[in-house]
Amino acid sequence: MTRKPARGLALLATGALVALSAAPATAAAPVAQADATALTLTVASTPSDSGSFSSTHDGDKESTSGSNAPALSAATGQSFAQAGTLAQDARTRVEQRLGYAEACAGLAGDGATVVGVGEGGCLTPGQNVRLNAATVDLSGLRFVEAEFLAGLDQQLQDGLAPVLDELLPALSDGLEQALTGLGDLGVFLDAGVIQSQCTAGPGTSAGSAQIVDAAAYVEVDGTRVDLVALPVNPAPNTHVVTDLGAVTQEVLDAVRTQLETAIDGALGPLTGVVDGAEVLAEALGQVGEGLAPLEDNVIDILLNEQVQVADDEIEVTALNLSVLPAAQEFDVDLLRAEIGQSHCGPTGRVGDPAEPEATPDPPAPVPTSVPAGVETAAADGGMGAAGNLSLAALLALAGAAGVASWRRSLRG
Amino acid sequence: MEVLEARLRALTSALGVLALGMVLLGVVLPSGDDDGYTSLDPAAPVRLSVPSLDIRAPVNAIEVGDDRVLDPPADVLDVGWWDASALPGQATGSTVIAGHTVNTGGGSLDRLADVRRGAVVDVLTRNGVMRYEVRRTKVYDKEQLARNAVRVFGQDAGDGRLVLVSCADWDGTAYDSNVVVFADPVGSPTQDA
Repeated sequence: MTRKPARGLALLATGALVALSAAPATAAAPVAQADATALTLTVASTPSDSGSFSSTHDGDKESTSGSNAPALSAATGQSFAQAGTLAQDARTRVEQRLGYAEACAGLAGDGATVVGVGEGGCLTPGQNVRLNAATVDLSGLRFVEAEFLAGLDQQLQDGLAPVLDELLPALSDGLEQALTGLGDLGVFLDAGVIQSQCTAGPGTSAGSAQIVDAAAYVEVDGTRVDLVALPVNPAPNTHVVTDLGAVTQEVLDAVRTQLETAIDGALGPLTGVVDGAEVLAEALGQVGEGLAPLEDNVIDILLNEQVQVADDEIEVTALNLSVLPAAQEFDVDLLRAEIGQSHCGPTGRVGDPAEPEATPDPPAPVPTSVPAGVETAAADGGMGAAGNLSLAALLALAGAAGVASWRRSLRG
Repeated sequence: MEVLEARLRALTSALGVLALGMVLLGVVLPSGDDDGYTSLDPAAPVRLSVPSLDIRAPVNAIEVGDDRVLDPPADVLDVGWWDASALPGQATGSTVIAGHTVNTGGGSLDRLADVRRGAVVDVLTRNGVMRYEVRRTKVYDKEQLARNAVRVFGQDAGDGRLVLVSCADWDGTAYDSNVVVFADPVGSPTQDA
């Protein structure tokens, strides 16, 4: 009879030990995760962001980190957005032992209302927000005298010969004055709200983006030239590429008057002999050629960018904007902006201590640092395997030649 | 009448044999590809090529250290394939390749940040070439990369994508950030591609 209570106690103790040892494993593994980042900017390869707000559920309770009310100034050192409202929120929960995650993030103008995740989005629009994607400096545009003459027929070249020394500097001055008056071209995005949201649950995830009243445009001397209007509820991974060709005519119109004045002044008494209109057309043609890089794709926009990481994990970015290298000719800073990044998942099931799942092999640890940059090739690098082999071969050859010479000297 | 029946039987037999032969031929011969790409038997990478950036670099296997640092090969002309990441051609996980950016020039991935969306990236293996198409480029500072490490390098998810990593954001003495390029697998180009 005395053995039975002892056995019972031992059984209870063993059970308690098993439960205790299983508890950390089941509690440590998150069953739902979500995070959100309102704005990430990369200017000239230097990234900054609004921080992230993340939520994790371990089966017992939800824990969060970061701020879900970031200030726009948190993305420091930027002129991309001067005024506006950022929002980023994430939430995880467990229902019937299953993990669920949701997140939203975005940007809107002043006066926007920030609402919690689960309301269909993070923001309801207020005023429109104006985003400065690029500033195009045209002051580098120059006349190339040799090219200017090459574009004219021989008769016109002969006619202009007496005044050429005045004409070309006058055209250069006129162009410079016109461009100074014009100032820089501002490339802007204007939007009521740009936001994304996502949800994830057992074996499923979904995301969407909402872009309200958004358009890309250029300001030329205070005049707005529309480039493209962005769709309200874009399909996943909607790609918009835009050039600034629409502004070329605006620039040409702006410089035309100054060039006309320069030509009239330089031609003087030759006005009746030389066709000034043809000279003006050639001058404008050369300015147009200088503006040609703006006809290339300058702004690359991806709307509602969705990356389906797994069935129960998704990443959505409402608007991903890149200023492409074609614009570099005009001293434009290469900028990348990711607005409204929401990430939901993965999700799992709260472990059942009575039937613990088999522990899988631990995955290989992922790298957290990749030091892949050096100042000079000589610092960390080398000549490569081929270079090293060549050097070794040369050394061997030199050694052999030395030995041969020494032996020859001994014989002599 | 008998002659006709005999001929019909012969014709039926011939058609049967022909059908069987065609089925067997279909099993033996590789199937054609409408889009000019086929699948690739997974194999370790040997050479990386990004034609639009004129990048061509030999690939060596590299490991993640105990400190969770992934060091590219010491030779700045080479790139390194993380040997615990997916093999090119695998249907899951991510193939991770890292290479140096050298401030004064001469690094294998100096121009990686300039790659455009849609650009082609080829990875040569012993079993053939695996082609990828650039989907997006991201720049992470050190803290951001550590925070997003599982999302960027994790092998539990992913559809066999390629992840290229180098450095960005030279501050005058060191690089403060990493540029990461994500590329989707397209397949192994056939001769038509």
